[in-house]
Amino acid sequence: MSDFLKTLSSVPGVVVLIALLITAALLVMLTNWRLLIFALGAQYLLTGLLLSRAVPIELGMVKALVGIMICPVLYITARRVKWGHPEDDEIENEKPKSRLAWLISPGLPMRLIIATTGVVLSLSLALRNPLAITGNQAVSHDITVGTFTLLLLGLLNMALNENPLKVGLGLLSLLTGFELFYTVIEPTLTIVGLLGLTNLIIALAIAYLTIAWTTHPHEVQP
Amino acid sequence: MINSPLPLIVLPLLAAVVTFGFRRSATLSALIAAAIPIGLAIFAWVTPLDTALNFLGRELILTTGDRLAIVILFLTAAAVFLGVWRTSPNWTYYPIALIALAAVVAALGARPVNVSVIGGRPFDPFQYSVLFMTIAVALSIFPVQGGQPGVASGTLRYLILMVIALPAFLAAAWTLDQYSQSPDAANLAQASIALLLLGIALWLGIAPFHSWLPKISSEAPPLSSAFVLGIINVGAWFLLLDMLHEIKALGDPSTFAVLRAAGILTAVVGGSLAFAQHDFGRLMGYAILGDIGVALAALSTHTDAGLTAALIVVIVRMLGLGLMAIGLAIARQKQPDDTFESMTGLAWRMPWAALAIIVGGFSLAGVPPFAGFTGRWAALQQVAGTDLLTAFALLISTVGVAIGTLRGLQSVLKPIEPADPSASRTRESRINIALILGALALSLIIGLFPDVIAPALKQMVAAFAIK
Repeated sequence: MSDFLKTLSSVPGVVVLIALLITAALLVMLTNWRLLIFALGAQYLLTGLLLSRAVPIELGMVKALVGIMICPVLYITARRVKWGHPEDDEIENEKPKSRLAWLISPGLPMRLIIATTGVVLSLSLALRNPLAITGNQAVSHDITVGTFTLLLLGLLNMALNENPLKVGLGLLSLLTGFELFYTVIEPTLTIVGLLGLTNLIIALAIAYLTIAWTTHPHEVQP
Repeated sequence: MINSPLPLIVLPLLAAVVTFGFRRSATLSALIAAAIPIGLAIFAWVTPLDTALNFLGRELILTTGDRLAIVILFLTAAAVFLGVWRTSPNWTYYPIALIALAAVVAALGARPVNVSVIGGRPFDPFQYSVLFMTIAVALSIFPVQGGQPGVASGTLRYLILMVIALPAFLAAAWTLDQYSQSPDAANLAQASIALLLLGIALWLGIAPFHSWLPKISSEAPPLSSAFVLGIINVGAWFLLLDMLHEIKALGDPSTFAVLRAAGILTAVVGGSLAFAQHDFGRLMGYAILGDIGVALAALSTHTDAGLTAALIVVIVRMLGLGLMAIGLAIARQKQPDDTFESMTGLAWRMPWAALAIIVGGFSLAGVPPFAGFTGRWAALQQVAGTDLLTAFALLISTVGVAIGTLRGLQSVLKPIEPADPSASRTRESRINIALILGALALSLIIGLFPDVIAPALKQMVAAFAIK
């Protein structure tokens, strides 16, 4: 893992940052649970990579490892509840969807607009309020942009959904954004470890709520 | 090591493992789960626990205030576990709740005695406490959801609002650290106070961040709600008092002005919405909301007497909440939900459950002669002479919850036709009756003779005194 991250750390910072913004936007735009979990995993990896430019590589690796542990938990949960799709007998009469429709679900244009607005807004905020958290100005800039984007898009994801998996991904995204900033200013292994444990327990709670929510899909939300 | 808080954290964790091992024997699990907190409460009561223990690079130490707070939390947890024994078949409750309890104790224990220069840093932040508390919150999701199919919205709201507080607190710790290095930067002090107050508002469920309170109270198993509102929320209260005591920046008058406004709003929202409920679960949630508002209003007076009143409100809440939750837990074994309609004639079918629900409701409202009255009266005395608006808010809170309970009482006492198949009286568990009688007796004793808790209160006020 360490060698893998070292190899990846040769990737230019701007590329990592852009990839991070894309994964954060994808978490808002997509509804397909497989792709969402994949995007979350990529987000954790990219966060670890971005962090390794400002803190010891081990701490960045811990962040990536936490993500690697969280994603299988959510994957197994999503698989257990049939990826959030209704029971097979309920969709028997529906027309089979094309491969493209499977990937892009209804409401995509709206979510695309929201995600783009979120990214633009967070970029604007980050550029106006740069956080001088490291000696290297370029790294501080990248971390500020990454933090603001993940925080804002995480909040948007939570506000726009009632599905515990999507809301949970928003919550984890928000925490990842905050940790991106916080690990740089508090690079203590105990704190990073405790934050990782907190993330894991939250992921388990999200998995539990997702199973409960899909057990009875006709729940009426007031 | 024995005089440090470590046993208070490790033993509940061991008990969690043991109760998991005995998960097929509900009785044994319940007895172990209840006995360990009772034993630890006695231990914490008689032992000073003032020996600092270095643990993971952190000093574990309990102030007198936190030690007494932990005694209260352990006793509440023991009562909740005994209540769960006869009302819920869910074996996962004890291990998870015990781990969450250990996390709350760790949150209160992993604190410095004084904010001073430690490890070259001029300010010792509270990240560990906040992280342990968030772990406790995330663990409490499991008993709160309770395996109910399709029920997730209230629990999800609770999780989100509690977890969002984590970044606010950690960012506040960082800005306070920055402020301590640049004491002239007033904007840093303001930012840290704002972040701390946001975190506190989210954790305590202050209006407008209260939406999870009534949802959880109506959705979750009643004793799981009691765990969250009586242990997690009360633990958060004691952490707030620790912060007010230790963080000098929070001693600013603007902090207390914000707390006063939040207290008034929360008390009014709690009281006025409790008045309109048709469901005992939601009524309980709004009554607790009103209670939180009253405690905040008392605390905002920035006096020792106000702090005393706030502590009484928070501590005696356990009795009203416990009574109402155990009554609802018993009733839910036979009723589909907590609505007044479903509870029609409950007094004739399950008299002990009905008694617990109604007395619990009146105690939460602050109606004499129950324990809740002591706190409400103390809070009202603090504000009535100087602040009519706050006094009026406190009255709305009391009257709203009392009328809501009276409306419920009307349904509970409604006679049912003898021909009705549901008219037959249901046998209630002796353990639950004993718990109800114990809580009722304690509620009456504290309500009629509040001096019995005065010695412990004096110690707590001295420990939490706001400089």
